[in-house]
Amino acid sequence: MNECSYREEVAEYAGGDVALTEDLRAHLVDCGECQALLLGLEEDRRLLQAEPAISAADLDVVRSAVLRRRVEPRKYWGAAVAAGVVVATLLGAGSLGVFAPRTPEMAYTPPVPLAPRVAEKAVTPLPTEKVRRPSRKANSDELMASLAVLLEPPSTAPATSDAPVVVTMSTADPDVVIILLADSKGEVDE
Amino acid sequence: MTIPIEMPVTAVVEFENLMRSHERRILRLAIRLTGNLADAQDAAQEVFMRLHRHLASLPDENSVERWLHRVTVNVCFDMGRRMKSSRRVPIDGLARSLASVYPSAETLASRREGEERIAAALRHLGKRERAALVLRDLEGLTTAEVAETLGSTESTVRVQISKARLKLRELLKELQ
Repeated sequence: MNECSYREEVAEYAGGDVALTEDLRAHLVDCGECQALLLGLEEDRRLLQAEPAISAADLDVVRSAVLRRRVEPRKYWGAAVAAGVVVATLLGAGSLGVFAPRTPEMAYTPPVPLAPRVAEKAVTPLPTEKVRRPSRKANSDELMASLAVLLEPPSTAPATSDAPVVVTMSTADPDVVIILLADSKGEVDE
Repeated sequence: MTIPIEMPVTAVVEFENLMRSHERRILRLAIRLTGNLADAQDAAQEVFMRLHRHLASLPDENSVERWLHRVTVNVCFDMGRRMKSSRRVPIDGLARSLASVYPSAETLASRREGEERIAAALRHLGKRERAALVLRDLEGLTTAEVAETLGSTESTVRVQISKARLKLRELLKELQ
C-alpha cells in the first residue's frame, strides 16, 4: 500500500514544528488517511505528555539515595582513618607489651626453678627504686632504651624438667611488664 | 573526579533546592527514556550526583536546566546500552507481551494502561529518535534546543522527530 507523501509534513504540523500551509490544508480536506493520522498524532502527544504515576515515595528514593551517596566518601575516609589509627595503636601497643597481663594474679611470679643456662645469662637487676619510680613522661624510645630484663633469682629448689620457666621483664614504665612463659623441656641441659 | 564533600552550607542548601525543583521532571524524562520507573530512578540518581559534582561550574539556573536535560539523556543512553539485549521485545510480540504482563487490562485504570502503552512503544524507537521526540513533545524544547542537547544538527533532529512520531503512531495502533 502506498503511503501518502504528506505524512511527514502532517507529523511536523502535529508537533507544532511547521505552520499549516494552504497546500497542507487543502490536502487534509481531501485525504482521509492524513485526517486520521493527524487525530492519532494528537492523541499520541497527549498520551506522551500525560504525567506518569510518580509518587512522593518514588521521589524520596532518588533524593535519599543522592544525599546518602553524597556523604558516603566522607564516611569511608573517616572509617579508613579510624581503622588505620586502631591498627597502628594495636601494633605499637603490642610491641611495647602494653597488653601484658597486669592483674595481681598474673603479675605475681611464683618461685620456680630456672635452668642453669638461663640463670647464667641473668642480668643483674637494676636498683628497685629506679624501676619502680620511672618517669611516666618517657617517650617510647627512652622506654625501649631503658628496658631492663629482670630475672627471678634462681631458686634453691631442685629443678624439674616439667616446671615452666617464667621470665619477667620490667620496663621503665611500671605499667608495662613483659612476662615470658616457656616450657622448660628442651631448654634445660640435663 | 572527587566529590566536593566539603561544600559550604549555602551550596548544600542550593543543591538540595535544585534537586527538589527538578526531580519530578527529571524522573519523568528518565521514565520516558528508559521505559520503567526503577531504571529511571537509577538514572535520576546518577544525574543528580553529577549535578552535585558540577554545580560550581554551572553559571545559572537556565544552564542547569539544559545541563540536566543533556546529562539525563546521556545517562539513559548509557543505561540503554547496558540493558539493550534484555529489554527488547520483537514488535510482532509486543501486544502479546503486554497482554501477558497485564492479562486483565479491563481492570486496570486507563491512565495506567496508557502509560504502559506509551512506554512499550517508546522502547521500540531508536534511542536518538526517542530522545529527540521526548525532548520535543514532552519537555517542550525547540528543535534547536533538542539539536544542541543531542549534539546534532537542527535539520537532522527535525527529521528524527517527525519519523519518530510516525513510528510511534504505528506502534500505538499495534498496541490497541
